[in-house]
Amino acid sequence: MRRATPGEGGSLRGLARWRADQRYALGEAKQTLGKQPLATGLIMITLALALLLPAALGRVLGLLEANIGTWPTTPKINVFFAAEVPPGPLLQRWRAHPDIADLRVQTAQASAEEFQAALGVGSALGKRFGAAPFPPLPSVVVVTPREDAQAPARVKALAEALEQEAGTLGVQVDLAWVLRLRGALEVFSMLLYTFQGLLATAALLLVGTVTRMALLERLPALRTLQLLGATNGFLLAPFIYQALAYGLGGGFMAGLGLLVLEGALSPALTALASAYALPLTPNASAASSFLFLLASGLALAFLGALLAGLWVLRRFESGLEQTS
Amino acid sequence: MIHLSQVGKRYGDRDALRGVDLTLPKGSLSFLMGPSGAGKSTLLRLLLALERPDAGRIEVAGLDLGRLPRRQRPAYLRRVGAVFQDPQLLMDRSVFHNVALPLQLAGYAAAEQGPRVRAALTQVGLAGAEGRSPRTLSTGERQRVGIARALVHRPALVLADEPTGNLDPTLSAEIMGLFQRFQKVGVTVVIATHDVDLAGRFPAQALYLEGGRLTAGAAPGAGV
Repeated sequence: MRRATPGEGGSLRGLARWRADQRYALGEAKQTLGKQPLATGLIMITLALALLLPAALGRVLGLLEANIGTWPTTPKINVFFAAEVPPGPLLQRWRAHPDIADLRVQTAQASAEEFQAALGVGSALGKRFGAAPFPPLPSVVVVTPREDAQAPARVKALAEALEQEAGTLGVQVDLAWVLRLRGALEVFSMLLYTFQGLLATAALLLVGTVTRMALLERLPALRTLQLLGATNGFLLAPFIYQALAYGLGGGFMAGLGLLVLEGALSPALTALASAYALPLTPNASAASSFLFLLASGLALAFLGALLAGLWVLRRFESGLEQTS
Repeated sequence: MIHLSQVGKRYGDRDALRGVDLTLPKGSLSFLMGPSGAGKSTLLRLLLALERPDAGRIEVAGLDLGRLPRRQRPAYLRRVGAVFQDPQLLMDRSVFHNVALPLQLAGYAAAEQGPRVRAALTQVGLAGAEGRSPRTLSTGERQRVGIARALVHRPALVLADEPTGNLDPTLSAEIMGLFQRFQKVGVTVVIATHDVDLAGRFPAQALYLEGGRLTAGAAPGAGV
């Protein structure tokens, strides 16, 4: 019985033929990979490293970014001034400042009462504090910068401007460390994206070069097949499957590596967060990270092999026309 | 089957073919002869649709090869049998695999490939060689495997470029005899050769190319 030839038969026959071609391509790829297990393993490991490095850094970054979102991140500037300075004129002037969203005055008396309450009004320490002849704490204006002025540099500039005001004893930026961390993370994430792009390009080039070399090695055979009527898809399919195997292996190794790294880093990160009395919850499940790495490996390998394959075949096609 | 009308092909400032008019009926055997550089291989490349003519029209089985989209070229090539001076076998595959390639590309079921490959190998005198590697074959045997590969899918047209170029006279005559047998069952065969003596021993249409021009074409059976 004869199966469908091009232009003949229905879609079922076409599907049967497609399946036969894929089986052939898979067999060819399997045979090639089996002939060079060491080279295959090394390519997979290189791909795994190219995937794992940015993935691990991205995971840490994602974890911090996700958790910082749950931490109090609106910076406050505490401006201390002497108890005898009336806050009215200061407040009037500051309200007009374009970077200030809100002002809240806490008098020296209120601060003292709050502190005394914290010490315990009935306690010996609290009684002693309450018996002080003058308010021991300065008055404070709590300044909340506008939302669009909460970048570390703007907050710092505002704090410095407030510090220059007459009567100001000092300025303290609350949550300064969060702002610094956020700034650092912004830089870090930009570096990470660059790093990810570079390593993805490296992975593409790696698979592309391997595919190109494999194609060039088989060029006489490909020429024969093309003269017999093989399509570009038929010619490329074994090489694409070969590349997908690299991607699958590389992605799998990278996924495993990430799980191991997470297990090793988790206690240290939790300890770091607890040092600031902050919660640290995972931003993504281990399974989704694993699947993402697998998919990335497959996608990069497929793209690398396809681009290299089409490039070689296009050049080869003009050669075929000249040499056959 | 094949109709060429005022076909021209140019490479740079050199005319490889000029004003070639030719009609070859279905089931004919033709020898394409002429000195090196006369345009024999160019004409075969045009008939294989590997190149397009710069002028004129080439029609094979009603198909205008000059306008054949590149995407459709593989499908056309699957309908043609091509034999080359170097049979271009896949050395890392068995004889069976080599001969079965056109069947595989044309979408024949695996179960049907075996009998057809064995029949083709029997026709070229290589019965039982299916499992052998092409490396273990002589030059003549390799050429015969190449011919079996060109004929296994029963194409209506076989194009051969110097198929006996590497063979001794006895083997050459044997190979030509094979082509003649296929012609007798309705296959159109065009063979480019510079071996005028060999071609003269077979009743066939002889076509002479010189400087890209078809200078003479004898009637079938007239010899050379």
